[in-house]
Amino acid sequence: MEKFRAGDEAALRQAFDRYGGMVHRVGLLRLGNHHDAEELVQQVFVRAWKGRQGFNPERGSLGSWLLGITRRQIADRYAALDRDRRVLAAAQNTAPPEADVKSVDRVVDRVVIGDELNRLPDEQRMVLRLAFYGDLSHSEIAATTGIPIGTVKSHIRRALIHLRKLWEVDGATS
Amino acid sequence: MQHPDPDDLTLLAMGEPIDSPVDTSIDAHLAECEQCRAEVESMRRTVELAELSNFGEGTRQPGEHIWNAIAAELGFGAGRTRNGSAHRPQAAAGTEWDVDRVTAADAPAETTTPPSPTLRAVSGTATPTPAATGPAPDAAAARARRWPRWAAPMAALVIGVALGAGVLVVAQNRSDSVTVEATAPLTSVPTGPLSHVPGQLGRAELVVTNQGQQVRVSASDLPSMPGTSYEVWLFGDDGRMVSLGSLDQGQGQFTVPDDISTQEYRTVDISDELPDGNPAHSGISMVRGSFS
Repeated sequence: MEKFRAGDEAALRQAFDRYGGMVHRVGLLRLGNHHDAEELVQQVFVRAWKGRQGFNPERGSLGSWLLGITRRQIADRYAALDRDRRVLAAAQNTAPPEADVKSVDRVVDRVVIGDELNRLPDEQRMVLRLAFYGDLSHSEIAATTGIPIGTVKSHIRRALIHLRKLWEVDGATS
Repeated sequence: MQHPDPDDLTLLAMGEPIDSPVDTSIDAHLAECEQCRAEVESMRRTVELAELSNFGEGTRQPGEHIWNAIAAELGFGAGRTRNGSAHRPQAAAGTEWDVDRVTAADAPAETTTPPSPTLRAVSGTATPTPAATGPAPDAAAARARRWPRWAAPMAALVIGVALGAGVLVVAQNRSDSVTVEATAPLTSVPTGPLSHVPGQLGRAELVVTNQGQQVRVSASDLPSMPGTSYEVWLFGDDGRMVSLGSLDQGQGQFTVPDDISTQEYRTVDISDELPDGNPAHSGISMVRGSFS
């Protein structure tokens, strides 16, 4: 992270490899198509590099800082879109649709959590997959996998506490 | 006050019914204990987000061309100009994959009649260059060895003649069999050099002829600059790209390679390519548009 601030180009490449997929995913969910999402990725990483002095590792991870930039880029885009809509609505004498800023945050949260779910220790991830996708209860998971029921419960709890930290403490949503 | 087992609170947030005697006592406790209510509530929100996240499925690392575009925009590569070779080896390695795919798919055809002449001409001329300009992946090097330098231009020439003849036949005998499947208005790419130019700057048509699918491009409004050429690409919805060929005075007609589905490759992109022999997308997109 210090390398990033110091202007090491390889550090931006690392950040791109680690977080590019997340930024792309947020773009895809919010902007709705692949090319806008790719453009967003480019804008975000270019902006991050140019503004790297503004990154403070003590205030949060590089990931949440990048996602902050992502959110602002999307908000700017929506503001522009909104202006167009207002003009159009005025021309058509209708009420303009509401700006949808809150849901950007929610999409970011979802993507961050999805990314983190895939980085959980194998057994925790499997247990959560069975719970969410398989819609199995903790006792059914224990029966299916042979993992003791107490361990299943603590896997679920530990994983969720870990995920909760992402949007409560890490500042991914702030 | 005795708080319930935190694991049980978590299960509650997961929406699981807990054994009834425990359940009722937890309910009673929650009615009184704000701390545990807040715990369940925040866990519930996490569960909702986790369920919506699909475990990050559908997340894809953006293509190497995006990194190339970023590196180009930031002038990475020891202060060289945009056509500097410092970041080029990376660029070549990046899109090499795309070229590889196409070439690999075409490989069996090397000994038979080429089904998609335009593309073959492109990948044929393209492959030897990475080996000449910098460290290239082994596959590219191997291909470069297989193809002598003169082979590619020669192949392009032969194919060009064949293609010309084919088009002539179509024009003469089957001109009535051309149907336009879709059109794409081409507008400037917001991150490109024409970002300040509003409105439509060209047009692409996806047409079906008896010879197969073609992309026909007309973009005479692009600024003409000496020393550069405009290359036409098809972008797939998964980030892959295929070069179709170069525009000639703003016009071009390109055969869609047999192994490329225009259901997936629906975006036409025109890039500004420098005469550096590098087959990769330069990262400088002028205009773009999608078939609809």
